[in-house]
Amino acid sequence: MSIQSDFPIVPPVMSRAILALLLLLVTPVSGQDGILDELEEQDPCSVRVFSSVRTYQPGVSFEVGVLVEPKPGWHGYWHSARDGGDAPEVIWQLPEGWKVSGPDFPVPERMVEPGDLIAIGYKKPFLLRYRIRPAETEEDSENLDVEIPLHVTWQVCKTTCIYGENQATLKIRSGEKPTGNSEGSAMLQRWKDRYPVEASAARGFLYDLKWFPDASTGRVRSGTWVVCWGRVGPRPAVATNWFAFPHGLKAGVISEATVKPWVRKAEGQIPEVRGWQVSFRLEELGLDFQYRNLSATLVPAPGKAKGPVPGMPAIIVRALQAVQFVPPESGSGEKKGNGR
Amino acid sequence: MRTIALFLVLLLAIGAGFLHADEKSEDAKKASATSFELKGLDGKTYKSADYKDKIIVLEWTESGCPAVIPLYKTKKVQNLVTTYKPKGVQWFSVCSTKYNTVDGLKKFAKKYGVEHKVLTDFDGKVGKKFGAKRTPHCFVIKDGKVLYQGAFDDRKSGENYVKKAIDEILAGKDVSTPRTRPYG
Repeated sequence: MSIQSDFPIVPPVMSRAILALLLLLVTPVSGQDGILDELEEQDPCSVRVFSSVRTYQPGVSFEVGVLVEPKPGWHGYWHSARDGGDAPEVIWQLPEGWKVSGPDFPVPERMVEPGDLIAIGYKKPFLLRYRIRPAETEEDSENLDVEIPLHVTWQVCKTTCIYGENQATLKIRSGEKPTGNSEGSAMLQRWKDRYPVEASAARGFLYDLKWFPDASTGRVRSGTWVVCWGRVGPRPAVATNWFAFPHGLKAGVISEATVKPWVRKAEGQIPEVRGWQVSFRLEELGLDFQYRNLSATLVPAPGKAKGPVPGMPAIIVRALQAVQFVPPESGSGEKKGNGR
Repeated sequence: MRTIALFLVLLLAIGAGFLHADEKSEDAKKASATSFELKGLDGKTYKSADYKDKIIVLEWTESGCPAVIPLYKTKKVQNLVTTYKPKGVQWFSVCSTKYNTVDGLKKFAKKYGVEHKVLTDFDGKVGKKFGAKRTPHCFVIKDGKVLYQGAFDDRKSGENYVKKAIDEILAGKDVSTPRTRPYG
């Protein structure tokens, strides 16, 4: 959910300042002029909102996209940006009884920022996807014009980092039945394949998730999370490499990790699976750490190229779900918990 | 039989000695990793070695950072410094921004009524040594060990992680949240 309260640290619209530490550990910049030039740049990021519908029906959900557009050369951030900055956040001022879920972040990429800081984010504009559910009933709801203000805060970086915020308004009208918005639908359609899907929705994959806490006399403060996955159903025509992006922890640090091959021997009706595995190292965990809260996004890439692979969605694995196998056939899929 | 027993006792003693030496060298390593020697805005040099018995807080800061300014505007940092000074907490703000200046930091300190020491690390050496990545990025150190590092607070809930860590250290407890992701 992304209904947030206020953000006391966010400065007034488009106020800007330098985030020094991104600069401090790098080769000396060519002089203060260079930095000031960066700061002179106006509006390094803008925001637009797109709706899948022009007319909504009370109680019937519809999709909305918030396009965050850093200017060329600037980049924004994923929700778990490692050393990088902060992800954009959207505050919706919804009418009473309305609900919003999301955001869905599109698949990010790994970047190295000045000072060898590892950042996970977006070098190009990116669309945050939300689902809005209007109230079930509204008095005199037909042909009611609704304006939903939204407040977006963002941070974008180039050689310096800037916080900013934008206001936007979603304008829609109520009706007996939903009617599409061609521009909004086209935008959402264009981005549709770039969102990772939950493991339970990625059909034909088998998972094996294991948590190895380090020996400890008290509460667990470190350990290793091993995520294994493989494709049981038909394979795509292109070779696939994977990247794994761990989701951030509230307290503690989770390592980056390289994806390696994994083989699972045939068992019962499941044939031998040749897949992938990744081991994340967790350190300095908080006392309230719970293994079940771990999650990561697994991103397939054809060869060395980046981007979606036909038949291979990016997948969100959650220790909580403990999904072991989702059969390739569509319909009522059998799900087995792995008991961990 | 007696000779064997004596030999075993000797072996154990030597082993314990080695273990103790290892522990010592491990502690020394940790202390060295958290040692610093930096100049303050008053031109004096401040060394971690001079604050051995205290809880040291290093708060990486930048006078122009939009994430730092609200913490000083609302006196969140200054109030924390004042509250914990009598309890043996030595607070240092550290600026590792290469293009910042002593004058720039003095203006910042004057503007926001900063009374604690602000240290200059314009070449970024100490920042790099500690792994400071953002401003604000805080480190709470006791006996040469970093017991907390990360954000000053949770910017949504307002929970102050530095205060929480100091309180737990003063109470002789384990730090329950030893690491968070700094924002800024």
